[in-house]
Amino acid sequence: MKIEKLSVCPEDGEQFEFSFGQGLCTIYDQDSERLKKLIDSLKQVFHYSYTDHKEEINNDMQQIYAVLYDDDDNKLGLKRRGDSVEVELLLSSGANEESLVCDSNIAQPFLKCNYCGQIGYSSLLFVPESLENDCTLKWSFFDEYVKQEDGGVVLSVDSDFLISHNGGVIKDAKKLLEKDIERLGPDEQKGYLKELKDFKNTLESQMKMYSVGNTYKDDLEDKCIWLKERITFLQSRMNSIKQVLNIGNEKEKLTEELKVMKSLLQKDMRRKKDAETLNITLCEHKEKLSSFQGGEQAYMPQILSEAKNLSNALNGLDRQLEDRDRTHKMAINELANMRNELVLINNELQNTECTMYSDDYVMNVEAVMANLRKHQDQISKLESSLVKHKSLISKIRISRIFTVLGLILMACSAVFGANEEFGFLNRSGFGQIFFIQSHWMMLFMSLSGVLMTLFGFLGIRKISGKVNKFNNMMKEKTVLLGQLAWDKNKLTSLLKDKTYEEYMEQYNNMAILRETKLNMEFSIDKLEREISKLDNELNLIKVRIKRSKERLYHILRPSGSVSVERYIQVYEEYRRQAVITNEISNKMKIILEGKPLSYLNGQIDDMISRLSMMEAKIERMDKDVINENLEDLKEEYELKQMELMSLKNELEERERDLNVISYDAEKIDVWEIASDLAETNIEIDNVKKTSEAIKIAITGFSNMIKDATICLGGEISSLANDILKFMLGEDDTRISYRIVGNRMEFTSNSIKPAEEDFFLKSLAVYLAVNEVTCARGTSPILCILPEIFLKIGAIERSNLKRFKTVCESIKIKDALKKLAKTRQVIWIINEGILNLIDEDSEQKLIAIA
Amino acid sequence: LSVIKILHTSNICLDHVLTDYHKGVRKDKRIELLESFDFIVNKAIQLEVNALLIAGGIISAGSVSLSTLDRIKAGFSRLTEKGIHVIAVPGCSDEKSDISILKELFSNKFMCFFSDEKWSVYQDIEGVNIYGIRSTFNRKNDNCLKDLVVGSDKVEIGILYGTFYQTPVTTKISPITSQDLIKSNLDYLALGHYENVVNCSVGKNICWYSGSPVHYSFNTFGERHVLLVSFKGKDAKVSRIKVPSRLQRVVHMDLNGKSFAQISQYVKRMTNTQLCLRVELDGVWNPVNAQLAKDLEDMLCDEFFHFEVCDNTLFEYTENILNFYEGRKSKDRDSGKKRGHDLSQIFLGKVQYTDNEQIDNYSYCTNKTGTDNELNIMASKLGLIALREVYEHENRKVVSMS
Repeated sequence: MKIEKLSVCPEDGEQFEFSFGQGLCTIYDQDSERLKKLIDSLKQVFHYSYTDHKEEINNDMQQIYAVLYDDDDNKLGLKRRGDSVEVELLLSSGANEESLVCDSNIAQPFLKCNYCGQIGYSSLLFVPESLENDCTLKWSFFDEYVKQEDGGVVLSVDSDFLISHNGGVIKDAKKLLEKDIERLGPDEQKGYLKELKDFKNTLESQMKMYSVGNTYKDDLEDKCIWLKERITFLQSRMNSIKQVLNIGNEKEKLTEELKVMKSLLQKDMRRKKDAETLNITLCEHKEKLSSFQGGEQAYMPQILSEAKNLSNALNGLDRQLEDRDRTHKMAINELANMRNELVLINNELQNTECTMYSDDYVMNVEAVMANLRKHQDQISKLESSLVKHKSLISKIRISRIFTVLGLILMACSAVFGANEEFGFLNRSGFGQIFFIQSHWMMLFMSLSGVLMTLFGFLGIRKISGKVNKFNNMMKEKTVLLGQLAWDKNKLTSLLKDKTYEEYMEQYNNMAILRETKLNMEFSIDKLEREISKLDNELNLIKVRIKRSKERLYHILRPSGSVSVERYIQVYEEYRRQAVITNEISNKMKIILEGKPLSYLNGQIDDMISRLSMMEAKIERMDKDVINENLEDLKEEYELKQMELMSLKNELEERERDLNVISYDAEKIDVWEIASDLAETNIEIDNVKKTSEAIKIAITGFSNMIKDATICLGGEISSLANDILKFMLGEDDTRISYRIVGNRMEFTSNSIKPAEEDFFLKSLAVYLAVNEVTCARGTSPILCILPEIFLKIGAIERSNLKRFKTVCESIKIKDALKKLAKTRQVIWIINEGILNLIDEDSEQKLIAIA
Repeated sequence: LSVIKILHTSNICLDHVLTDYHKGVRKDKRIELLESFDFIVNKAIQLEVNALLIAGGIISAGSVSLSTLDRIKAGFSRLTEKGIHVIAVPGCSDEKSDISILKELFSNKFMCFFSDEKWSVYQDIEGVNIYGIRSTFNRKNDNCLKDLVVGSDKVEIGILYGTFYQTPVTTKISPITSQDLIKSNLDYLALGHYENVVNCSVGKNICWYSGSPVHYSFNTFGERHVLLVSFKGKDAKVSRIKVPSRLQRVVHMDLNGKSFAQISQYVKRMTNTQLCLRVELDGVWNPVNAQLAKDLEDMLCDEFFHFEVCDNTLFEYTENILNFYEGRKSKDRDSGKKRGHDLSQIFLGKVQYTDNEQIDNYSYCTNKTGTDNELNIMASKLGLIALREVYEHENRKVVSMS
């Protein structure tokens, strides 16, 4: 594989291009800036990144186009622009050398590393890194996995990188298992194992709670039993103490009571004496009272009040009696007058009384009279109507006459008319005249006849109805006149010799008398009732007077008083004595507290006996209770009481807890917890076992990696030695390896190799690593040697010579020449190292854009 | 002669944690256990037996709930009300910190719980002596039966939680030999501990494991039974009474030469939503089948009441290539597949010869035991799975890029 051309196209600058041939090529450029650009571009083209490495490229806007040939002399074109642009390959199409742009997938067989999988065709590119005092010149490699370190290490390689190309599968498998371990939890502090442990702890705590709950429940039950027993004991002991204390208390109480009773006894004795004195006075007054006739019953205030009332009532009744009596007499006189008057009326009535003046009779008379008057009225009305109808008779006669006349006239006219027809024989002058006249006459007569007939007929027709009515009225008048006559006869028979008016006047007189009689009878009756009432009242008053007197007598009789006034005097005397007696009695009652004197005596006797008993009891108690112990017992009792209270509270609390725990225990299904716990334990064992097995597997893989690393180290060092031997033609230089941590270090057998040897050894190891890892075959070597890469300050200016020595080293040149036979080797240097332009170079500066 | 009838059972383990089953079906299984207990109680009443013998394993003391204890009490009450004696010895599952729970359960009349670590006798059943001992706590390594020699006209019955000679159990409790059985002169020895029915009789000395009447783990096989022991005089006749239980199977499959499709097809034939099925994969392990168990479970878990696949495949080492250098020199580097194979071989060599003590602080296995070997096998499997994943990933990447 070789590089033919490099074209650098800066975004803001002039394009420049480099062309290379086979073998050792040297590029010299005075413009270090341009060289810098070139190097940056080269980085883009030739650098392949180490796994996951991201290199920052400063001038990513510039393009570089490189023409490369692969090992089979196939032309490859490569263009890249920064990291963001995919690799483009231009493949040669043969004779016309036109290029085809291919995508990176086609280029993979050429560009992709089989193991690390990175895309990017690489040459071995390195530049000097630093040149410090007493240090070998170090080289910086654009492959990240290789670097130079202190202590004579020619090159150190990342072991992981080596393994990824030689046993990467093992590493990945190990990682997978490590992930599994991480997931399961390596130390019970995380992962699935921790979850299980937590769950197990939860279940165990639940079980423990259940178990502890049961144990606690049993303990509680025992404790409750003990508490109850202790409470019973305390109560019994307290009762005993209480009995003793009660005796002491009772003694004290009795002593106090004894004192009180003694004082009471003295008091009672005094009371007894006072009572006896009062009793004597009372007896005297009672004797006086008893000397009054009738005793206390006769001098009750009610009796006095009643006597007074009766006396007053008697006075009132006497007055009433007098009034009633007077009224009664007046009523009797009036009654007698009225009865006389009534007798007169009755006589008068009896004189004039006949059947004619009975009410029925009067009704008949009035009825006949009413009919008579009615008939008279009707007749008069008919007569007036008949007067009106009398003219109709003449009218109808006239109408009949007119009718007849009219008919006659019409007949005459007809006769006249027939004569002319049949010829009058004699048409005399008269005749003629008559004839002439008859014609007019006939007409006149006919017309008159017709009119008269018509008039008469119409008059007849018009009046004939009224004539019928007139006739009917005449008939009715006749009937009414008949009835009127009958009524007159009947009235005459009823009134006999009297006229109707006389009769009625007589009748009215009779009616007045009757009414007067009735009124008088009513007044008499009323008066009689009043007299009767007055009689009753008189009797009642008399009875009341009698009864009042009797009552008065009855209530005054016990006292022996004959009058109310006398009674009042005696009464007042009695009451005065009674008040005095009562006052004395009240005083006694107060002294004796409402009890009889005998009671007081009995009480005194009783108290004396009780006092003696109490004294005896106190004497006995003095023997039973020792006063000094009572205080101790009291203290003990108080302590016991406090303990009892505390125990009762505790018992209550425990019983409450017991109920709660019993309730909780009933709710828990221990089987479910135990079942889950057993399953969790099995799972934990399985996980632990699996973890253990995974760790064994990981150890196996680790051992494999270790073996592989050792094997690779030997292989690389052997290969590096072969390359060195080829380049230098000597066999004394040996490169060995050692594994330090995660890196494999390649060292030289020389204690301090010359810088040129150091460079060549680095190159050899680099090539060997490249061969063992990515196996790129004859990759070109680019060695860029501008001084700008050296961290050389002004003070270390002399060290520049050392770098120049390397650049000018013949040994290096020879070695590179030999190496250039197998692959393309390109040196890029700058003006700073002028002397490095070697006349022995096969090619000098070929192209500078 | 009146016939004496005894119902013998053991290892009911009510409220067992049931971790052999998926969480989703455990509640149902728990209910099934309780139903089996009720069945036994009903059966005892129906058969009018004289006594119900429970040779250990009434409850799982560590996980028993109050509701279950109430149900047991109710069951026992029903038995004692009918005059049926309930006699039991503690089993491993009954032991927690103490056996107070069981003592409380057996506190009524007609009940006997042998909680002494010496043989005691229960004589409340006419014509019968029942001997029992607590063989679990301090005496689990002692041969308890050796201490018992009986001889009377009565029917002599022993009840013991222990391991009869050559019984296939993982944890041996109070070992019992045939000689001890003969020497004890018992007419019937009711054993508990082993989960399946076994006749351990020697000559005229009748001795049975009743087995567990329920499936509470995959250690139980086939139908579940309780034993009805009838005595005519001193002659015991044992008959099995089937206890209704859910179907449960354990199927072994050799992976060699079989594809995933073939295996899944085989399992699909057993599809039953009421079945508890465990498939144990045997044969030589291959990284290709690393996810087989999981894939099968994912595919078929809904087809069964409970379905699980256990990977019991073996692992074979190839010891010819033990270091990277030799492998690298001898193989063609350009062949990725071949190279992967080489790396696998090298890895296996490394794991095989990895001393577990090299593994820093997280190692909890200090001695090179069967567990170490098991760990190495697991490590090898996991490492090869990881290598395969890396290769597959790499190949995928190459394919996608090309």
